[in-house]
Amino acid sequence: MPLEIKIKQSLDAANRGAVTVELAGSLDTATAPELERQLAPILDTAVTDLIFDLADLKFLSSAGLRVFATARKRLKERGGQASFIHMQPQIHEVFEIIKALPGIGVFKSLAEMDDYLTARQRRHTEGS
Amino acid sequence: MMPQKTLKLDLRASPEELMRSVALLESFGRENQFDEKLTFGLMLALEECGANVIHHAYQDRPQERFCVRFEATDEQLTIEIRDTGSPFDPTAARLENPDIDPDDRAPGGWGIQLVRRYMDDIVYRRDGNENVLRMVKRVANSST
Repeated sequence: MPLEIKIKQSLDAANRGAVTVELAGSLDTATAPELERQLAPILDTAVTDLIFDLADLKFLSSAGLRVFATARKRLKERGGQASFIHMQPQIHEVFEIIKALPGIGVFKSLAEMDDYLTARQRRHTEGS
Repeated sequence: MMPQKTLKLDLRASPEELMRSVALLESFGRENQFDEKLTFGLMLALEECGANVIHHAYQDRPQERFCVRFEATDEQLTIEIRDTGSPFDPTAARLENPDIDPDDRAPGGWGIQLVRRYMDDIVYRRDGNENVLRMVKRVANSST
């Protein structure tokens, strides 16, 4: 099963600066290097929030988790965050077993995540 | 057609060929009406341990070959992987200390940690010039 990667810059005011990465298929030892290649230029920009939409991700192994972990670490260093939406139960279980990605956001829907990001934005604005 | 109960594959040591075998295992699970979670665990075990063969035992030399045998009985499902690479025992990977900050942990142990959760037994042995890894998932209480 190949991996389809769609990268979208968010135009929504609430998620300004966020990039959405839709993954469909299998994120494994054969496909993880391609995701890593496509994420590298994004992580080199000032983007702070990466949203991985996993609605159509069917398979995930440790090779894929390592790509997520690298992205999470880079974003965290600049005060940002990696978020995950629409995880299927089997994919969620892989995250649960490893527990290697603390501080990530896991959201059931875009709406839930928008609320979170808006609240965070407000906290930042009020705090400064 | 009677469902196939044994699957034997002779593979080149490349990630693409490994994933082809994982797809075959998925079809095998479907033909034998395994539940989805069980099949997912078997696929993950094959992917993780096959990746170890390719990247560690063979050090990414795709001209090498390895064998996968998959067997289903009413009691258990067995995956056996054989390669002729350098000795590599994935079960020797130390368990992660959960108290260590994840950013400081080596991610090398994640694969075996996943396999341990999805499979019941994982036994490694060096047999002559071969690495032999045998993983078993018991299904005694599943519906027949």
